[in-house]
Amino acid sequence: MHAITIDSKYGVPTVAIHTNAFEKAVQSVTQMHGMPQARYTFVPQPVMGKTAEQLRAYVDGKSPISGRPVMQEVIEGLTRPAEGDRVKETKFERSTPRLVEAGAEENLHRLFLDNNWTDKLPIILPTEKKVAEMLAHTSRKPDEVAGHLRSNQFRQHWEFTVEKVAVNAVMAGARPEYFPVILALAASGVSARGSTTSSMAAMVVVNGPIRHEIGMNAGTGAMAPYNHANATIGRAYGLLSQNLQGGSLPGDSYMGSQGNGYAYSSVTFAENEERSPWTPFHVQHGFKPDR
Amino acid sequence: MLIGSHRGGLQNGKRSSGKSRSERWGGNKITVMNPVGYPPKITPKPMAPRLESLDGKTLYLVDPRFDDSGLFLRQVQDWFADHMPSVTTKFVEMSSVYTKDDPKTWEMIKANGDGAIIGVGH
Repeated sequence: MHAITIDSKYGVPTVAIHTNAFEKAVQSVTQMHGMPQARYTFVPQPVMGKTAEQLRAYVDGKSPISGRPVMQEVIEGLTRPAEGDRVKETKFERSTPRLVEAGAEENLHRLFLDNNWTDKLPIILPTEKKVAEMLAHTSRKPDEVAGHLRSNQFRQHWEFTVEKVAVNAVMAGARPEYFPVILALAASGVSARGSTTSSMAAMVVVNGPIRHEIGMNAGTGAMAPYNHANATIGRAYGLLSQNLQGGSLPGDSYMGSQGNGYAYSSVTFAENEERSPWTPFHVQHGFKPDR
Repeated sequence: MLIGSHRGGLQNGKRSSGKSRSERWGGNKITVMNPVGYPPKITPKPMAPRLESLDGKTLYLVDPRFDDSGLFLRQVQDWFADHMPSVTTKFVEMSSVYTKDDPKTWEMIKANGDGAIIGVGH
């Protein structure tokens, strides 16, 4: 990303050197930033922890992606003219359809799985009827822009509507009365499918009267898989994050080294305002204790 | 598995309607909604003109401050000294963490350099 900035904005020919594990991520980022012809080469992973001699061997060696000498690709990247070089078409229009082509239930489940639209666990198919039931629990209009998400700082934001959030909420198995919480999570701008090699996961703590209204657990076993609202709100947060930010695919848009099991549920629970030794979250942010 | 469907019960692999699972799945199409958001509009960016040659040029080696990326770039610097001594290389660290833009450093490179090499992490 910085190489694109130096090259395109400051007019300085630049070459980036990456490790080979980032091949797909580099292709994706350069494409999305409008510079698919950006110049780069690869050395083996890892760099971290290697000796100077080992790293010099990387420099003297060949790209594990192209099989060509690393420094030859560096020099060519600085000197070879750009015209006609690796230029690909870029998409300028919003093209995501509202509906999936009609199909048998089994085939649709397979389609969602194959398209990486799930967390690989079974989902509820988002029929228009179920999505409408979800939307009945918000005053927001279905086509209203609900927010923007991206997996990390090097990618551009994707946009989504309230209806798109409802689709993902249905898939997660959430009940319609949970939707205000799920919509708030979507609108936060914080992805539960962030991409970093440190394999972080999100955590959700829900404050306010809605905790009791929808039956969230703030007590014994709150973080464990024993409460429907906790479980499906957290799952919905993950699903909506990956689908509304344009995906979360290992090696491409997800680079967590080991991954994180907490990402299945985003460790979602309610704040135990009544028994907590700390000031309730809403009070910390200027609201009255009794609202 | 018919997830989310509660119509009828299973009897010997068939529902009370008498249809088999494959008959139900193959015969009745349903319409569902697409869960994917809207991609950003992409504005193509121009590349800087490339250099005719590196002879006598100054290249900045930009360290994004990943672990050991500086050590790696020092090897690149040594490679130029060994193989292309007419090239001047200058090593520079980004001002902050790699996630932040660094316009001051980019301005400095633009003012004093002919090209840049940035890398590498992990």
